[in-house]
Amino acid sequence: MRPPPPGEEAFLKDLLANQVPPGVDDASRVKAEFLARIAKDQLKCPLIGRKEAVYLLGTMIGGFNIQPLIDLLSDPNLADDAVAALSNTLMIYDAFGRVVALSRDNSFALQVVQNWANGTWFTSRPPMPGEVTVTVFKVEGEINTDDFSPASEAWSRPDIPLHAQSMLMTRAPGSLDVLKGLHAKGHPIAFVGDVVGTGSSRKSAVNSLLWFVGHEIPHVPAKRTGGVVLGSTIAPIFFNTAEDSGMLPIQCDVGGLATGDVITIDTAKGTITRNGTVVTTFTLQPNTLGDEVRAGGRVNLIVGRKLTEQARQALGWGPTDLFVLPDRPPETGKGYSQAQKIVGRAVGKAGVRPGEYCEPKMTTVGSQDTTGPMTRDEIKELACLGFSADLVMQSFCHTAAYPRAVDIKTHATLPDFVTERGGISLAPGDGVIHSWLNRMCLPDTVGTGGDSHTRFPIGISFPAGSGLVAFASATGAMPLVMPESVLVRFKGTMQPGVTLRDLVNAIPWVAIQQGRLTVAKTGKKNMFAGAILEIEGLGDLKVEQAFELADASAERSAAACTVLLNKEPVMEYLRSNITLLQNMINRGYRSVDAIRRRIAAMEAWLAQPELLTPDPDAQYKDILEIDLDTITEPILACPNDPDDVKKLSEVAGTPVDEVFLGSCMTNIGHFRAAGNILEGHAQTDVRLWVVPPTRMDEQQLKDEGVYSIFGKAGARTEVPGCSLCMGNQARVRDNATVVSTSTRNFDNRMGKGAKVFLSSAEVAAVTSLLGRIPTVAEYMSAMNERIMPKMDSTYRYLNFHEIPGYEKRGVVIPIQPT
Amino acid sequence: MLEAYRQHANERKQLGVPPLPLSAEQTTALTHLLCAPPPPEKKRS
Ligand code: SF4
Repeated sequence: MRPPPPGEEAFLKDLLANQVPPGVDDASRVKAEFLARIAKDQLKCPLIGRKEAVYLLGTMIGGFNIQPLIDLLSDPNLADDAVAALSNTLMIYDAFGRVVALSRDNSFALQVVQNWANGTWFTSRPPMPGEVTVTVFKVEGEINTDDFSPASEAWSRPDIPLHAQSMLMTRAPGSLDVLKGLHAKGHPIAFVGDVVGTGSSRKSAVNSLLWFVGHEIPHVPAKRTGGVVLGSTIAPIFFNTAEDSGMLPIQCDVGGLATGDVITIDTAKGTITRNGTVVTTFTLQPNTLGDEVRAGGRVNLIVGRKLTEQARQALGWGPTDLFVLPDRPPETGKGYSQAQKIVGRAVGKAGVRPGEYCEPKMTTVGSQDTTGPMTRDEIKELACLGFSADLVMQSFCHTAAYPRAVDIKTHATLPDFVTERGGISLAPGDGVIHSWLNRMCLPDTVGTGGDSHTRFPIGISFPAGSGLVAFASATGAMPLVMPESVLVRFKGTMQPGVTLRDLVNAIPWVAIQQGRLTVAKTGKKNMFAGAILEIEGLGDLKVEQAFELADASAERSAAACTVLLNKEPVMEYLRSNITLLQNMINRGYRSVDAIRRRIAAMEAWLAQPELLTPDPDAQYKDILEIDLDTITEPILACPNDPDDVKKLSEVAGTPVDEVFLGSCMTNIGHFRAAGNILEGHAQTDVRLWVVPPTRMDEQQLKDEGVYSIFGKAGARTEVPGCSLCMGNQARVRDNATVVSTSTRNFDNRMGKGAKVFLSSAEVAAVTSLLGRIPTVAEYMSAMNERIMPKMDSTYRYLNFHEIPGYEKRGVVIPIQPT
Repeated sequence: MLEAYRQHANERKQLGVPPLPLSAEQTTALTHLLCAPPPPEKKRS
């Protein structure tokens, strides 16, 4: 390589300082190692001195720069610079403990801890300006996230500046030129819309918008922060993502604003003026928004607040009044529900109230393979080299069966990314995320996952978008405004022939009867929307069964779900899961530490099995009672709306083309039941798909001979995983009528134009024999003949601890080379 | 590395966007350039 021509020095230094992505990118590793060698005097660089190297290390946010900076605290010549660099670095994670340990006999390390405790990272930044003058760029009507970040241009999303050029390209062609022209007025641009950011939670929507309305971040290439967005309505997830990125989102009446207006936003008074006249008013929401903007975004604020709090604790200092405390709902003095207690435990309190802002500890986090790559990118942005959440699990269930080239690449790279950070990676073909993740859950703990069906049968999960899942994995906590709870109370006795799936569908069915849920899309009523569904009255359910109820809370548009279970099924489930986890270690799953930790936590719980229960005077937004005595026949969700539930007698006789037994809604009992019903029958006329949720279910069914029944019935079996449920792998024929055990039947999900009924496996199996939905009499006779006499052997769950030698099963013993 | 980078930056400019952030390979090359001994002072004519 030739030395640079003279005159290039400044350019080269600028490239190093500003054009290398910070965090834990491969390039940032090279940069950090290079600077560390200069700072430690292991490498001489004529253009960069040691002090400057330390300064530049301090601009790298976190990750590979942290350890060198900690080392430099012991270098008397550079320790002051290292103090300055570390004091303003927030993505510290577990290096915090190392700095505190060092501070016992290193005064510079002590200074760092004190600076963190004093929040100098925050106080050194300018407060949110009292007045902001901006030029309005307005788009009329609703602007959804696809308008900001068109799906057709998805390929360019990782390249933020380039992808931003497609913003509004179909929604308002030519308007970007108008926007760019407005910069001539000399003010930043505020994006204004009537309804802003509806649709999917994609972060690229905010990225693109920020590219035009935000400002550059020193030392961070191709990304922007700051900026103002005004909307009469701003969709909640878009609002959160904007907050996370350091934008100022304001909800106000924008009717009086037009493109080209120069307006002044007074953040203290809550007014927007044009030429000295007030055009509209607003209240900053949430009340912590000013701190978020000052910190450079909500993510920085939450991480930094926690760092400050930890540092104060380490120093024995009291709490700080530096930050605005989130508004708190009034204290009612009443008891807490189950969910409120579980989340309370995760924040170290007896309970949390609906509306209360909290940051519950994330004990279990799940990620699947379609959102996994996005989550990976976000984890890199958070400069995370090791997860703080106790257990992070990655599955490959959505793309295992028929992977595309990009999926293969994900299968090859994502496992290492996850396990290097201390997470657990499954393999393609292992099965559905939830069927595994549930087996790793701990009672009465909180988690999340980047799949809307991440809903734990024990404890509670708040499913989230890829950004929050990354945040939860990296930091071990998640920002949450506690939703209200709706209690669903089952009473009476379960009637013969009725299955758990029918109880799942009984929830919307009863709600519809009582007029608290409507099926029509316009003016829809839904008592469950955004609430936590708390289910009581079925305490003896097995945990596998409880998950059917929790899983389907996604279809109710509920935020989360709890199921009140007795201790015994939970103990049985955990014992079984310990054996499975031991088997994973023996099979070589990684990371072993995470699996071991979880086994130990399960054993600790089993040594003293206690479960949280709701207080008798707990408050609910609403209560739905379901009398099991009144549910006397199967209930199905009808095409194509999971809320459109009808009794079997109302849909009996409908001709059916295909039947799907599978998805996370199924467990081994369903397949045995289907096997019982299909046994002895020749090939079905309908196309029958049988896909167990995990490889363990598949193996057990094969061992029991159930697969041979499916074979004789002409079933098409597939790799354990999501299969037809997601609609991105094998699909049903166009316009087919389908009876399926899967979670949801949205239009075109399972197949183009498909009409999909959602039912129990038992109804589905009888349907596959008849080629039409059975009558109640036909169904009951199949149940009476084939299921009732062997209930116990049919609905038996995978108790791995009862299978002799299971720990060692499937272990591959490598052949030693001779 | 510099020449290729400048060319890339120019192409991106045509699209109205800044150059892509540096890759690990480019960063490695950059660190070598930064440390290269200063070019000989003598003028080439
Ligand atoms: S089976 Fe269906 S609902 Fe369950 S995780 Fe897979 S795609 Fe999602």
